Amino acid sequence: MTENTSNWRQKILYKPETDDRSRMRAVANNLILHLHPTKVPAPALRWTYTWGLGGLSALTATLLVITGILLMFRYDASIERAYTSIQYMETQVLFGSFVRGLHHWSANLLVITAFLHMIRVFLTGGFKLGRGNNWLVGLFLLALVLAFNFTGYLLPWDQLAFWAITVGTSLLSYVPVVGTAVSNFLLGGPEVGQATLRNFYAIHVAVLPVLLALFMSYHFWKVRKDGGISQPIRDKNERVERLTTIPHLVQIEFAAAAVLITALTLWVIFVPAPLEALADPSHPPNPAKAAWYFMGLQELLLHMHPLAAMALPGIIVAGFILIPWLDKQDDNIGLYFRSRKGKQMALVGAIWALALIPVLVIADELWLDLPAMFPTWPTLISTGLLPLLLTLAALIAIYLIFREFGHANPSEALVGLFIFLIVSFILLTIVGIFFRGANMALVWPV
Amino acid sequence: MNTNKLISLLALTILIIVIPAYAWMEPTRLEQSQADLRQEFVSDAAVIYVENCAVCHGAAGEGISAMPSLDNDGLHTADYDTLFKTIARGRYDTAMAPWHSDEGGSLNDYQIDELVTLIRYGDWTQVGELAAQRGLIPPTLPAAAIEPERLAEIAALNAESGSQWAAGMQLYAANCTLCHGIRGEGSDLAVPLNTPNIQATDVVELQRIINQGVPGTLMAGWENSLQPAEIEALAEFLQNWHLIEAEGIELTPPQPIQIDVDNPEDMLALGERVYNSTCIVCHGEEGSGGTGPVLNSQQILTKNSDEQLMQTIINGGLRPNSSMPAFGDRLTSVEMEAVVSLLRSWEPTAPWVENPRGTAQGGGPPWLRATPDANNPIAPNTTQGQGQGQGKGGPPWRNSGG
Repeated sequence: MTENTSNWRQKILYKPETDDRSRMRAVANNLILHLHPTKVPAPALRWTYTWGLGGLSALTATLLVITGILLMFRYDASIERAYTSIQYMETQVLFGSFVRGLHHWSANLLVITAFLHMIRVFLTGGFKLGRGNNWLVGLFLLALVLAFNFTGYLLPWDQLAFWAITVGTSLLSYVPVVGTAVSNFLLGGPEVGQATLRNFYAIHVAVLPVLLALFMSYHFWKVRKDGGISQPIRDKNERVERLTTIPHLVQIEFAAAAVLITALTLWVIFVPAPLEALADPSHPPNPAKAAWYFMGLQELLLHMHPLAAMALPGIIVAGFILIPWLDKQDDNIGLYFRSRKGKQMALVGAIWALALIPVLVIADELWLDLPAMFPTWPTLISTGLLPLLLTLAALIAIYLIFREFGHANPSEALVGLFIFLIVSFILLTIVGIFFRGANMALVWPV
Repeated sequence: MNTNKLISLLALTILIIVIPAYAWMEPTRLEQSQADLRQEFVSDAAVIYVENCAVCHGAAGEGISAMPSLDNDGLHTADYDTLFKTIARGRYDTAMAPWHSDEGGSLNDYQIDELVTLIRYGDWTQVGELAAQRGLIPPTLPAAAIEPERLAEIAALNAESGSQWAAGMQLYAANCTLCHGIRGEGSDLAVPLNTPNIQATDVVELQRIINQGVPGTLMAGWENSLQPAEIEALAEFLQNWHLIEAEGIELTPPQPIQIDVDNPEDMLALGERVYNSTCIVCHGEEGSGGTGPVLNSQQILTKNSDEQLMQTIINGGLRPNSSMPAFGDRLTSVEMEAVVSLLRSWEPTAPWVENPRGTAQGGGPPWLRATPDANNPIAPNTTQGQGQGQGKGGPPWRNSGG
């Protein structure tokens, strides 16, 4: 009787075990200690180091799985019923609007947290010292998140969904040689229709979740395998305080999760997921915009020949993939911006982007007319190859200026270039979302 | 207690307060969202109505000549499914065409749901406003009317129930002329009422018919929109109409609109007005095609004389199962001539359209499109298929030649 009571007390109150065997069993049987090591270095727990972005992304993904499964019970992936099934959800199903809102806003939040997580990992050199693999897996996971978002965007089958996907997939058809074929394959035909909805639904609820589960598991496992998150290299003599995961790390994670869930709940209650009019293939809205996270790309398309507007991000993504091989200086791992110099380069990169991008956007809108300047050239060269090469030259020039005049090492110069690219991309996205009105003309947001 | 625990506690406290509060509000939210959705349906339906239905049923659902009014209490309280079926499948032996895409129409389930919502919950002044903004103001005919002194004359006809007859005739003018005619002569929508047959019918039976309607016809039950006394008056009036008529008392028929038929520009303008209000639904803007063939095409215009065009308008489509209705008894000859002159005016600029008779079905699945060929049953000529998507040039495998 007494033994039972003590067991019960142990289970409820987590009374510490006394002998080694019981302690080991406690670790082996603990889910948290499968994810995390038993002890973590105190600096790795600093909130301002990770901002909890990886964990929040994982939490958001979990929320999406749960709400997504609930939504599946009421959703009907046919163009006759999809929209009506969502109207049912909004007007007949208890908490239907809440669950849909949670799914919608979590999905949008995940794009942001995953993107910021990528930036954080780059800035602290999280791809160094054998972490290159996991950097690649992380990039793939970010692509998966975008694919999730893109396929999910179509499912409500409202005007927003239909035209965002129509615009989005029309970007795809600019890819040379295979673009149209891939687009036709995904859409199940030349236009967005029933086949597209069915394909996207299948991809959204079957294909992508499997990939996500596999690669997320690998991502977590590899973090653990690499010895936890990246930390600065320390002297052998320097003793770093190590704290037990339970309760130190778990408390932080729990607090972050509680705040995120509460904030998201409040947001969802006051801002329900939008639902526009039923998709109408014969009445495009003006302007017809892609999903907001693709507006940077769509904005680029306004300034360059489609092939160039595809090639430029392609080259930049290739650069991101190659970063573990471009930046081979491992001694500055775990330090934001690598060094004091790196921080300066980042600041300069950000300022240049902030100054240059708006000027270029306005100049291209008002004065710059490349085809008119080179009337004899085909547009593939005048608005395609020329701006593409100029942009790439500018990027190389920025890197070289950081190296030569900023006296930065390659690692620090890359930080400056990276920040320049990220700020440029964010600026283009903002311009695309807020400053483009009817016929995608530049307007002041109302 | 450390900061993390404090933050967690605070967040969870908010959550514990907010979620039950939300749950408590949920039934109200559901009701509100249903009301909002109804309003949205009505607004959407108003657009569909103005584009497709106002031609026959009037800019604000008031009904035009023989086409019934939709803005009446009988329909507001009508059964949802009956309204849906009527719009989707049309009504046999009337001018009401089927509108569902499965039946050859241009609307889907959702749009018909919206229209039903409009009829049941609709705000018809809003519809009329929208129609006016679109410049779609069909030539509305003034309602049949009767002067007050005439009513007094009727009342004087019979000391006992003369006033009832007068009230009945007034009600008839307001509610029944659209289908049953100014003189009760009937139309293709409804039976004649000014007949010995009706006069011989028992007054109770007449009241029952007016109250409950006639299943399977356009005759709605009026018990929800008219008072029992009014229905009694109507029945009395119908039984004694011949007596009133014998006194030479008639309803004033609506006045037609005047137009100068010798002026070609006037005729073109009239043609455009008739086309835009009647033909555009199927044949598209400027004859660009839709459910019906692309009229603005060399094939149609050069191959058909004015006489042939006129015959098609009068008698309806020549091909079997054509959905082109006969307009001979719905339009005047002047209006039809005006439409023909409008079509003719397109001829000089009409483009060559690959398949002006394209159907919405896209010509069926590819393996069923070829014209049967007894000599070559395995691979009949694949370029001879019937119909294809309108103006889309057909699916890629049909353009590869062969």
